[in-house]
Amino acid sequence: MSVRLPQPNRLETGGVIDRDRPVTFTFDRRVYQGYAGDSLASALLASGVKLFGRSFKYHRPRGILGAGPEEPNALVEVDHGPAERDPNHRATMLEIYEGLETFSQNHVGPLSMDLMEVNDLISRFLPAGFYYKTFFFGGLQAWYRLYEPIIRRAAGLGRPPLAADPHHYDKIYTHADTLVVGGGIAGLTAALSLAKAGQSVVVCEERDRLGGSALWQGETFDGQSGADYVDHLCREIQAAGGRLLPRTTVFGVYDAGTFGAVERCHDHLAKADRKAHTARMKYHRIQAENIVYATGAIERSVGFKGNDRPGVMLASAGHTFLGKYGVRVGQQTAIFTTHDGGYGVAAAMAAAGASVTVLDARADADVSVEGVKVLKGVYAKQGHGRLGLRRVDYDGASAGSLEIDSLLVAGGWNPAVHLTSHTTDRRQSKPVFDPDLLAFVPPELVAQEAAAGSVTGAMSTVDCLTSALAAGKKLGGQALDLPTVDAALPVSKPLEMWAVPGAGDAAFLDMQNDATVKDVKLSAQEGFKSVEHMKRYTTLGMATDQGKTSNVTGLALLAAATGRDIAQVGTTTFRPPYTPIPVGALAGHHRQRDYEPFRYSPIHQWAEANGATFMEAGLWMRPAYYTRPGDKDWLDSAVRETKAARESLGITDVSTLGKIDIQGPDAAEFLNHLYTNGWKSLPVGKARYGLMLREDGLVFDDGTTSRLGEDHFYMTTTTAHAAGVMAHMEFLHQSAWPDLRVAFASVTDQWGGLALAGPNARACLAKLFPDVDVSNTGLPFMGVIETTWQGYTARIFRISFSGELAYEVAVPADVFEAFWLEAMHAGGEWDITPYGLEALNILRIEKGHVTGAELDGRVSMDDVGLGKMVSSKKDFVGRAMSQRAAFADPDRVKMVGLVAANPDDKIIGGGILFDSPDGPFDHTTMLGYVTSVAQYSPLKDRSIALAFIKNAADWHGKTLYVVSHVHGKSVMEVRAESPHFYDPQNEKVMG
Amino acid sequence: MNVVLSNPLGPNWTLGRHGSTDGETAGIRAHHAAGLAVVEVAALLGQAALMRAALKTAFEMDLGQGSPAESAENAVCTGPGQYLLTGQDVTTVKAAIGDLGLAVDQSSGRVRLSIDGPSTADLLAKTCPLNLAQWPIGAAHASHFLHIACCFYRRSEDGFDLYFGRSFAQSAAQWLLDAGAEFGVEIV
Repeated sequence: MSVRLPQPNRLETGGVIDRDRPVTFTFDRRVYQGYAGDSLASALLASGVKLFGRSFKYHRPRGILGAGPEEPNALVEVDHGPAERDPNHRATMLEIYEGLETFSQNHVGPLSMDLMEVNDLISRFLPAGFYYKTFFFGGLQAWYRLYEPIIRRAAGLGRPPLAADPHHYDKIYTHADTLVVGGGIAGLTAALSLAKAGQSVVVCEERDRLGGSALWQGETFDGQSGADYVDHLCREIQAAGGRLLPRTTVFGVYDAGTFGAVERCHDHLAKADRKAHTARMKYHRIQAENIVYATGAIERSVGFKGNDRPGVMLASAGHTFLGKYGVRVGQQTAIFTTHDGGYGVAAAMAAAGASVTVLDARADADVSVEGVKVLKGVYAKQGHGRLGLRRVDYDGASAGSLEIDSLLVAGGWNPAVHLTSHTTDRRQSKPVFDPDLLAFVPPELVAQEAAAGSVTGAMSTVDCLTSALAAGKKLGGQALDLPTVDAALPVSKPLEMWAVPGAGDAAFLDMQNDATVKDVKLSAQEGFKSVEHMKRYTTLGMATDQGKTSNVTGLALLAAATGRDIAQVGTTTFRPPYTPIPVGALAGHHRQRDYEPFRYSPIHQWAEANGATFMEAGLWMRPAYYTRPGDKDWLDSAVRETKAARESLGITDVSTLGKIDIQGPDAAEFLNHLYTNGWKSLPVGKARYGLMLREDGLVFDDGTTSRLGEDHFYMTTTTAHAAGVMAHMEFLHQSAWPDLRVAFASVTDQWGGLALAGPNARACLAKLFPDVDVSNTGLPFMGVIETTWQGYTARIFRISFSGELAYEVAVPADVFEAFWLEAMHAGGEWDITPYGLEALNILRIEKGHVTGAELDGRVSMDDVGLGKMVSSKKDFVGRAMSQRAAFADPDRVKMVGLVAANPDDKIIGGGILFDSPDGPFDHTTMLGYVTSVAQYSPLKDRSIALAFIKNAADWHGKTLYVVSHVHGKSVMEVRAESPHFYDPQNEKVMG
Repeated sequence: MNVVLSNPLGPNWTLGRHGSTDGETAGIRAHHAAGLAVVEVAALLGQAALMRAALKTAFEMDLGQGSPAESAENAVCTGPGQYLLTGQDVTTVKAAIGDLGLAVDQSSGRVRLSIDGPSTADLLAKTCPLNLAQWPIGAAHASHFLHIACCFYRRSEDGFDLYFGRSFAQSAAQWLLDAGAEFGVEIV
């Protein structure tokens, strides 16, 4: 845009912005201009904007308080469409770019005429604790119908996006010898000392540029300007191998030298300038031996009435806008200060052409600035001006009023000690109060930690640099010379003044939550004297800013109100994150499709191309059913597949079953320990069904294991428990039986497996292996043959889960798809039909075979009718506990089969069993529950199920009622019978 | 034997350039060793040193004292006394180690992707928690690649072999392409 929009508060010179690159953006749909390097706050202040938002509770008009991450007031929404609507950006941290669209938050109607401002008019009736005291009138009904909906409508900061986040986020594992948090002059100095000593160093700076206030404060270092000296430090650090990460906030300190940081890569760039395929943010999981806290200090305000008027800001903020951005925040300015530091700001504002008055709370102050009027022993009593400061009343040694448009408050400094209290891994101590400095400083740090700069309580630049050199030395850095600092700013300890005399309501401490001096006093008065209770009662220190500008003042006032000193009151615990972190940054790559990996069978692509609908089984994708033309729905497909397996020939993919190869002279002994039944007598070439128990005697897993050689077994587990069984075996081998000479390996992924089931299974198998005798004598039930297919090892197991004559064949996964295709070809003459998990479920329920639905961690062997599978000749895991008296309790639920009385009824999984249709349907009358359901069984021509019920055998042939409380207590009549509906004599599988 | 080996890496793993097209060459080159013979060996408890000696005699694999850092290109240590051997068949290996341990064919069970290129370190920083600086050439590590179990072997300054379980390989390949997109991935 060639038109230049007015920036009345922008000075002709100054700042570290790029004046050759004007940037056009909008705020509340109005177009503004700033320069590259501006924050939204600085650009809007330059353009004359004072009003940035509304406070949370009273909806008071608010401007800017700070100039950095501490900002509680100026929260804005970046809105680039429904998916890119991002609330709660701090205007002071948001960098402007061409086309940026921003909106103020938390108001109904225009920002300057917020309808919710009525809350402010009745604020005297909305003190701290108002909600707790009020909203129980009318009982729960009033809460649900009246109070909660109203409060919910009023609550919350900003609006969430309306569509899925289109950005992507990366997680980066970053390693370093030392992490330096904070890239101001102190952090950079410590980093250089360490990098020069050969350490790998990472410096994280949350702002857009390294160097902090040294960039613009006007002090010189060895004769160089601050900006030049910062450049010099950065170049030296990088030359020594150090990494500098601007726009990177270290938000948390965790155990064992682990730190969390988020790097903002895109938020300062227009869409067109964002590099393709790069992430919006990178979450760095930093692993570092040492840490340097060079986190700086945050200035605090003073409690006085109207200290939240737009135009009242921290002195450091006014200084930053002037120095860093060339923006003069007012023409008629007063500096309300409790220490010498306010005079440096006063001098800078005066030099920028403002008319400046200093209100110094100290009667004995001994400092002056040319051209600046100083009133000693006075304090700001009240600020006036609803939408922008117009006047301030002062009181003290003298009283009066000043007609001003800006008031800069210098109430002292709070070191940013937050990170030093995040973990108790290395030390238990919290930040400690230094009564001399009137500030919390880091506790005694351990050998791997050091602090540098104003976080230590140091105030002058020289003291900050000295602490940085000491920090470097402590962590093994090289000794560096202290630079000569000229044009140094005045500093002194502050006068203890947390709130001015008589301050009460509308003297704000926490601007974001509208917590006032009066609220803290009320909290103490009502007995909430612990700092933790006061925080919750008043909400002081909550929400997005976590009280960065208000916490210390709040607890100092609490100390005064309760007659204690500040050290006795202590501080609340700072917890991660230091500043808000988008959840997307923490999720990184892992969301939606990539939430977790999928495991695919070797024939996944074939199944996909042949009508399979998949279901997730753990991480596996397994075909649920294959849709063929003419199938009405999934049940139709599943029933067709079931009938094919019963009547001719079905084929299914069993590649997902867990498989473990076990080798060694003591392999059989190992299995004897593991399974309830005996294994030593199993001949080579035979398979056996086995049950494993947990130590508590309950069933853990089942499967078949085959003996391939004297010392060689091949175990299968359920799909779900494969990894658990492997871990169970590893644990037992390493801890309980290390003397057994056995080793094992997971071969789940090595083998693809298919099952051929149905009356024609043997004929089909014979076609696939013409040279192998697969007759009932050559390969009897539970027989195993190892042979080859096309030169590859093939293992044929005569086992059946479906209850039909069936075989499972395993070949290496690389050739499994080819083998499957050949099986499909060979089975063509019997209309071979692939079947999925739904048909498999019908088949196994008809047969009464259990799966994870039955083996749910609560059942004993007896409960599922497998009590005979116990060898009395040996010990095994869970044996002692499996003989518990409770397992023989006749009231214990055991497995039973259910058949729907009405052919149109579909039994509901998870339904509860009762013996009467009349109720009551509760725990006093319940008899059992349904575990697995076939919505339709071709065998019974209706729905059947497996269930667990007390005195199971007594119910066979009797009527029961299934009630589902989650389906409106529908009552369904069923008949109980043996769970072995199909071929109970096993003639099919043996035939 | 004219059997077509199936592709474990899914439909998106195709030869050529993926992701960023900046620069003449991609930041990452990747190659899948299709048909690679892989045998997993695991020593019986207490037999690891003897098994390594047997492997040295039979195949001249020098595996030092058995730490992961003393792996070889064709013998990648995955745990105490455990190796993935490449280029050997299971029968020969079993004959060499006898009763000292287990030997099992994993030619279909493991998928090896080899990566190299100037952006390899950046790619690994996005996918694997290990510190490359502490990882000499010739060392192996059992770790994870974006939470998929993976065994890494460093064959050169910026060249690595990644071993995945076959059923995870399609997800791993997709995630490698995703993570590498900003650098450009050339599948060769």
